[in-house]
Amino acid sequence: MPGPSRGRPVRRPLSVRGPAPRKRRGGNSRVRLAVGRLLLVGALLLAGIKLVQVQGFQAEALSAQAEQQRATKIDIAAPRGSILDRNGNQLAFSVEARALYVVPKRMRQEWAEALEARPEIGSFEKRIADMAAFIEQTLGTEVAGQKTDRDTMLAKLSQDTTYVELVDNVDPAKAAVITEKYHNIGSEYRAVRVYPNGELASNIIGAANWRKDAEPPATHGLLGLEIAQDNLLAGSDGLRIVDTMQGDDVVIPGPDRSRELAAATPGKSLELTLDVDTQYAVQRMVTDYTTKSKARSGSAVVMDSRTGEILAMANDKTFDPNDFGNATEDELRNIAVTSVFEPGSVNKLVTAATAIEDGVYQPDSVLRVDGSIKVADRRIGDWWQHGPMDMTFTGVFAKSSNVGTLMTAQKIGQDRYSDMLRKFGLGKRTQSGLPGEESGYVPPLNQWSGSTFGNLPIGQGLNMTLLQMTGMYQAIANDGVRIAPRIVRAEVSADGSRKEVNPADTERVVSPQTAKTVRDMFRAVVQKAPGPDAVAQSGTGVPAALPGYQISGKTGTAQQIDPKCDCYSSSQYWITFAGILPADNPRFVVGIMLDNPTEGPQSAAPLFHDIASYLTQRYQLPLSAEQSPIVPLVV
Amino acid sequence: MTAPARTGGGVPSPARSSKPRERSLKAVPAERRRSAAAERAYARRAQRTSPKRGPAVTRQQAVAPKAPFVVMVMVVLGVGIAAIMWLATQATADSYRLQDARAEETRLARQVDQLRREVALAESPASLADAAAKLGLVPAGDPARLRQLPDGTVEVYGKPSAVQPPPPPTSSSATPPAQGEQPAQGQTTQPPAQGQDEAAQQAGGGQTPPQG
Repeated sequence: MPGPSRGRPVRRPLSVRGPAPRKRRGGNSRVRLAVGRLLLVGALLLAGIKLVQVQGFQAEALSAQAEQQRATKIDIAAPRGSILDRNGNQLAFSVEARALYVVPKRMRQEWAEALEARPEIGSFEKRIADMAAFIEQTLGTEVAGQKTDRDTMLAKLSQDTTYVELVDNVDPAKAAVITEKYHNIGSEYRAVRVYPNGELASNIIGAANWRKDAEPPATHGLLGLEIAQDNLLAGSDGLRIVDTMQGDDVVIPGPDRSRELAAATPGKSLELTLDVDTQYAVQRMVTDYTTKSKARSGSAVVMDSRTGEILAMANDKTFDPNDFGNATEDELRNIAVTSVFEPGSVNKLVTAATAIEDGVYQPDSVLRVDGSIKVADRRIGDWWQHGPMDMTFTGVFAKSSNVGTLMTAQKIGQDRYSDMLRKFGLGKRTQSGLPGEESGYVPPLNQWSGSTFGNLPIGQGLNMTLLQMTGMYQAIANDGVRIAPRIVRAEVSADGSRKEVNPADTERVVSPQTAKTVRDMFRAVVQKAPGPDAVAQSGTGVPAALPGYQISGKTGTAQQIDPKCDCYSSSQYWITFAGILPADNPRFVVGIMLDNPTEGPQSAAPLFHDIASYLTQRYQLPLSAEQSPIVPLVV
Repeated sequence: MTAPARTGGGVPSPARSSKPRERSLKAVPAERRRSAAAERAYARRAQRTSPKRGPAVTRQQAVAPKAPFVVMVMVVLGVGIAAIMWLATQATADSYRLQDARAEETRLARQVDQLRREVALAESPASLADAAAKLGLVPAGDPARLRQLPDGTVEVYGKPSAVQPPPPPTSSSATPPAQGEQPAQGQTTQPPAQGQDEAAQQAGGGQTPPQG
């Protein structure tokens, strides 16, 4: 074997010149190879160590750092849903707008630099004067209550600060005209909440405004349904990641520099049960009547008797949602659900319905009613002086006899009566979906004192909201089934799909037959008897009658509590009325409450008449087939 | 495992070979005792002969179709470049059109927004009431209701109340009507009042409205 093979297998030389140089290379290459190999292995090892360090130990920190340098997360605000009435009329909706701003310090500095290069462009003062003039020319002198005249704008532009907002809620098209002409003026997205009906139903709808400090900036509710249903209306924000320059907010342009991770889900729209025309008419009537009667406050609720939907809910005081900052506490409240009162005789419905249901009396049963009745240690009289007299059971309620009612209540018994109060929905929230709803107060049976049962049947010693009071009559109008009232009819998604909102609660209170009997009995409340017996045979709510239609209802007068003596006042009253229209084929239930009216008839019956008259026209109710019969009240 | 392979490989090799080069190798005694010179000579011959022969033959065969192929490639490339340029131009032109269309869409969307807002404001009951008041209309009073009985007679329910003349408190709507409009207002309010009186008279004379 020629050549130094050193035990390795001998290769066949390919070239004849092979062996000569090989001899020389032999020793050198071995060293070189070894060194090279060592270096490479060393480098690989180092690289490996660094790799493990970077990928393993520092990975999170480094990627976060890189992300921070490059990517900026931007929340995408979802468009806010609208609030609609039952016919699709818009009660609240959002439109796009712009806020114009400048960065005066930078603007001044940049202008100074430009001026040095080209002195002919004119002074900075002239520049901002031109700007101010152009803004006034484009926007007029006022935008949404903000002054945009030349002087105001000039004052803002010449401030020596880092950021000044010139004007808010600008029409985007006009904003574009301004920002195109003057690049120093920036425009920022805004959504403006529009309330086309102004004060109408504002205690229900509430108000929302633009939140600059929210993340992301968006419109959020502040009052009423706007805040109660804010999550639903606001939708959920989307997320976008953009690549930005380090230490700056400038987005690097390019197709892959902005990635939408999650699209914003637009807020749902709320379809309310309100009918805006009915609301307007009822609102006007309530406000007029409250003013005329010099009541502290007044409110009315109109409900669909078959579905429990609130068609109108009007308070005498409302506020302008575009200027809610100046509204008083009284104007902001929706007293129909946030304030409770003692209902007075309207509550006699519970006694009447229970007595009929239990067969205690029939409508034409005759009761011997004394001038007063003793319950525990108290003696309760009727609202008019009389000796013992014979009244029909219908007459007891038509004439609103306290004594007759209490006589009946005692036959019903405390347990049964307490149970019926609960069934009529008293003492707990109606879950109508209206914010700030009160539950009212019914004393629990185990806390009743002897005289409690002398108070409750005549509507004192317990309190309720106007909505609860109307709900009681709804049960009678709807053949004995009480349906929890509600204000939101459906939730409408941005793609148009509707989700109906079902009533929170449905409960049978009395049998259909009882409900009909009670409705027929309570028609006598508005009965006006002809002839010599007119006074004795007429009900307490004659002005509520609507010729051509059967009306069933009940008047109520409750003494308010005098805070001075902590006793019932003899000069201040809650005047209430609840009625069913038409009684023979119920469609609507109307509840009215006036807080201490001091002028005119101490009754809400005329207001009921006006509202009922409007409803028959608005919904084209056919006349009742028969008129309410005149029934004997006193025999 | 290696040892059997080696012995196995050694035994059959002499019997199998048939190529001339192999045969010559086989002539050498089994233990390959070729000198270095012979080794080099073989290598040289191998270098000289084997690599050159193959390519020379194929080159001669490929000469003929070369020109049309090149032309074809050039044509394909030319057409390709032209197509790409045309497409790129189209794409750019389209992107301008797209941009224009987007701008138009934004403008129209804003217009829709604006119009929607105006319609909503105009159709709100409050502004309708204002508009009606400006035309001299007043809210209707309590109407009477008529029912036609099967025999053709008409029953009247309720007593219509005359409508109040336009209320003075709305100062904004009360002041604008100039002299020209005043007679028109008189005309709109008076005839209904007369008509209602007649209706009331008819009601009183003909059918007696059942009260209650």
